[in-house]
Amino acid sequence: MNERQKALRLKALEIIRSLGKGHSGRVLSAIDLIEGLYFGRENGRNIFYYDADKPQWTERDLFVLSKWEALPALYAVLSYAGYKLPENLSYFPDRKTPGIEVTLNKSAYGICVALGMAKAVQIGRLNRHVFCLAADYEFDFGKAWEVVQVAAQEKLDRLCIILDANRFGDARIQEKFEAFGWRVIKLRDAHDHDEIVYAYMRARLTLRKPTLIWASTKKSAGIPFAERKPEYDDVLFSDTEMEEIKKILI
Amino acid sequence: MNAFVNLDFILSKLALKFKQLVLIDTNFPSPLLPNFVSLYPHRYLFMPCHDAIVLETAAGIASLGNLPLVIGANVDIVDIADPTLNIKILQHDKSCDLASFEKALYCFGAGVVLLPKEE
Repeated sequence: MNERQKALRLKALEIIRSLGKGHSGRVLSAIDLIEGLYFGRENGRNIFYYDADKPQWTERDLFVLSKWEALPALYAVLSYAGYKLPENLSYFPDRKTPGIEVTLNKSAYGICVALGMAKAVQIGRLNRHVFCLAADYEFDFGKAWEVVQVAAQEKLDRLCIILDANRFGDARIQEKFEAFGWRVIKLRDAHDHDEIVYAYMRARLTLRKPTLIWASTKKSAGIPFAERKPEYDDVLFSDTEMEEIKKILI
Repeated sequence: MNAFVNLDFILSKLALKFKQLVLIDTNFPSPLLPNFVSLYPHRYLFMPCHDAIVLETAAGIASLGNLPLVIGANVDIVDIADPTLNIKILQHDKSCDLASFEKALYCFGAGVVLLPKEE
């Protein structure tokens, strides 16, 4: 874990405490995937094009957080990247916040919006990419699979879905997506910065088919006493626990 | 006579005027608008899916400045998280005319636009 990943973890946990509620386990499972996207560099260039001073820059890439429970992780990354966030952050993604592209209030709808954005990019022949972070439980809904089918049918090669798979279970994700005509990139270590960045790079270069990055993450990753323990999934860490976390991360 | 033949030509003509117009066709099993598809294949999305999915996809298309028009959806209310997005749903109504349809397309925000159905 690099220094930035550690700092972002602390920042995200502080945001959860300031919001008064949150899903710390899911936030910490997703934070490295978002960090890799925003801070990943290849040959001196950013993997993900954005300008924190101009959040509405017309050539920016688009990031959709379908897994809205991980919003504190995105806030932490945006803040670290230089976006000027308001003092009162909303619990759901809101397009009025700089750096947030989509307003969402339901699960699995972010994937649908990302599909629409990728279609709009294809229509306008724009040089932009759409990245969407989705949770594994979203693929329990039929609508997610309808999106998967339409994206492959339309050959939306500018669409990349990052699947944050933090629960044990369905190992046939790869077969299912490939059957629909997607390219699947599986991460061996979903918390390793270099591997994540390399996967994004490969996704950017994919042609004529959408890409799925399958990341088998760990809930509460980076906090040894809470890692993969369901009782820590949706808790606010106490002051004592925060002190211990600071000792681990700093 | 097919009730949707006229609609096909009306929308093909309007697509010349509205460069941002994108049609989302939810009809199953075959597309409703063959003429539009042949003229503007890149501005057409055949999506025989659940209405809620279609509306959120339209929201994504609208967020990059396009004007998605959803055809064939059985909804009267545009239920999306961000109602400021410019999404239109086509419904048929005998009392309206083409001029009011065009005017409704220019209106800001999500909504239902009405067009008379060919008898």
